[in-house]
Amino acid sequence: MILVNGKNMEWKEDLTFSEVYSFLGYTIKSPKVLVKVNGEIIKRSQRDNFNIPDGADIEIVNILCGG
Amino acid sequence: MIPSSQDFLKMNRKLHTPGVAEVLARACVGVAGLGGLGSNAALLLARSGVGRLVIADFDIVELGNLNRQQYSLHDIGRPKAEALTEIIGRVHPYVSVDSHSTRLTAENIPAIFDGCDVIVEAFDDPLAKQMIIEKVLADMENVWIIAASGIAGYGMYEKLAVRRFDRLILCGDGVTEVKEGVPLLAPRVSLVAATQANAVIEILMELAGRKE
Repeated sequence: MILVNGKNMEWKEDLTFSEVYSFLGYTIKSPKVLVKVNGEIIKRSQRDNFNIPDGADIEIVNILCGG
Repeated sequence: MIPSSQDFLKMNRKLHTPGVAEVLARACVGVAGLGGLGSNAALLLARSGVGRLVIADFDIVELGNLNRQQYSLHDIGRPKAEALTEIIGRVHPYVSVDSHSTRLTAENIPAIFDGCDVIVEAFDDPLAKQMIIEKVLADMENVWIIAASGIAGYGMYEKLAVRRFDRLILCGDGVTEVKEGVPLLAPRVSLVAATQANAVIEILMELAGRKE
């Protein structure tokens, strides 16, 4: 089990951030400006190859266009 | 006769009280993107007496900007950074404005905003928003970034919020996307721009309090 923005999500081997985004209802298209795993920022470029550990506490911030 | 810089400082000390006026006069704030969010936020910060503003946008003023941005008809065709510098100068001629008509990238952001205590993220493009927020949080120690997300539409006051994550403050409702029937309109965009400027002042006062 992992914690995603305070909600419990089932953990599995090779869990990807895309699956975590979908769990939150975020579209893949909208950039995630901040992804933190156990307090550490995971840059956009590092996310594809990141192993999400079981028990992780994940915080994700989504951003929309318009300015 | 144009009032002197001392007149402005004296007036701001009187209007804003000395403690607030002095912190703002010493502050340096960056504004990245000078559209509906940035042009409004920058002007509010200038009116509030922020001493130095670093403003940047590669774009040129177009007719389609006048519905929500601080520019006027005669600015059409001019670089936004140049036009906004002039607008700020007409309100508060002693704000030091460092104006860049440049496309901001992860490479040039640290140098352009060098010395800023806080940066207002005021881009339109979500990928650009992502880029600057990540850059500031990961590589620009002690700099705060005040971003906006979910500013389209009208009404929905109750949805507008301010959320903090580390040195990131996110203003807006976080969910309302631009689409048919949900356009970018001056009132709601300005509300969020004002929320960003308000958050800038809050952070500057907090940082000043910590130094004491």
